[in-house]
Amino acid sequence: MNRTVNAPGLTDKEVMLIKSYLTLLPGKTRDDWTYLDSGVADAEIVPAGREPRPGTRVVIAYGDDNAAGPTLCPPLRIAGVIGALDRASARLQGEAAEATSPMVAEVRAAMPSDPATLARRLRAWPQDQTRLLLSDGTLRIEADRQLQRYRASQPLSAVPLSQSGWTEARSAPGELAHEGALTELLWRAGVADAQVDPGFYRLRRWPDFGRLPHRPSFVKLAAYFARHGSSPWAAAKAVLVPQPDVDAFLGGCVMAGFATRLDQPPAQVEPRPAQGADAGLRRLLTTVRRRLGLAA
Amino acid sequence: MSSEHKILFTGTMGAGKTTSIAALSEIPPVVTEALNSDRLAYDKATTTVALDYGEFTLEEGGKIQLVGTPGQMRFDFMWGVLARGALGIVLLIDNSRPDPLADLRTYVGHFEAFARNGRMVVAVGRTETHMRPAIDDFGDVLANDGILLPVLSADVRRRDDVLMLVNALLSQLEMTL
Repeated sequence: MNRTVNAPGLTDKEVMLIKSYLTLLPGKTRDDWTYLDSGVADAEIVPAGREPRPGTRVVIAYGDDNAAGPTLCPPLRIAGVIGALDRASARLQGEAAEATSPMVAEVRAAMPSDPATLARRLRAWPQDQTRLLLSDGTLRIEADRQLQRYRASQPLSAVPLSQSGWTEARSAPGELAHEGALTELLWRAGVADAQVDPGFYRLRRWPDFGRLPHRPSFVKLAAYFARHGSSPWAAAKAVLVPQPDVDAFLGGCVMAGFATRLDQPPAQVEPRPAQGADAGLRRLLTTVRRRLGLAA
Repeated sequence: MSSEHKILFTGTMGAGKTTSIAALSEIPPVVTEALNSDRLAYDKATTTVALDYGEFTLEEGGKIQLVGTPGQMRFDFMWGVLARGALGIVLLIDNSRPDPLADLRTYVGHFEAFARNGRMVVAVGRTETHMRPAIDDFGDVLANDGILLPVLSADVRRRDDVLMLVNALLSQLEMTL
């Protein structure tokens, strides 16, 4: 989509630099951006202390790290400009979806206070519906498939997953409070629900453990299911982790689309006794884990 | 098995290889830095020209060497030499660069045997300020080549994040046994 940007409050030198960057950007940003010399642009880069022009749809705060919304910090570098414009695109796209959605397909239901019910509702979310609204009057979750985002009136309590033994990864920064990637909501609901249909599963994508909360055993389980199609029961036996951990891991993976159920049982994987170099490597890996304080 | 083993850290200039090694090493990392002659590609004063080196010792007296490749492409002839005999590779991607997906393709292509054997983990940095490409996009690039690897967002200034990467690498290695 073609978008316009301007920066009337910046110095001539900075404006010239931005213009020159824009000539290099086609194909590198989510939208195509051109500089608008006069008039109101889709996005305006506004230095601290200056007001944007009336009618500006998205403001990119220049030199103000604490500003809400897209920011751009001096010195002007092309990577920073790309990031700021992409964040502005996300804002504009969200605004457009909101405005053009003919009729928000809402599923109004008593907001689940327990993750299992939330998981069930998310699972029953029809594929042809873009938006989902769950609300009980005090707690509200809006999810949008197209934008792959969700917003909640309470960020983590919506799906109370915090418990001992969990690694609570840092949450993704959002321009709005309590906003996150839809994947995160699905993952949280699926993990807390910990229900998977009987069958065989295989990982198609690793969960991003840098962002998603996880139990220590999940990393090993991801490595296992990435390599083997397996039933939850066989995985627990092979990786030596408690069955509830496997169910929680697979519940999250299936809900968020990281794992798929196989149509037919995979070829049997026969465990083989480690010997020679394999046994040596196994010992080495155990020693490294112990040395770094990583869970065995 | 010999008592010295190696984990390789690779990625573009400024992606955090030296920082990652420093997070794990029990000795002050040996850094072969020189004035950066390619400030167009990445604006930092110095850059690694030969390798970074750190290490930690194991209980039985063995040693894990932590080796970082030079970031500038003109030193890519050294990558293969440094990777020889490595247990696995931590590939660091800087999401603030102009085309991080191309960076991924370059490095995975160079270390394809490691990638295909699951002896690699991909860490994507600066995702908090540069959300595109998304982590899923990196997964798509790998999936198109039939490769499934952990792609994890990470801030390697945090030791916990570096440990998470090593944990994912070790877990994959264990599954090859």
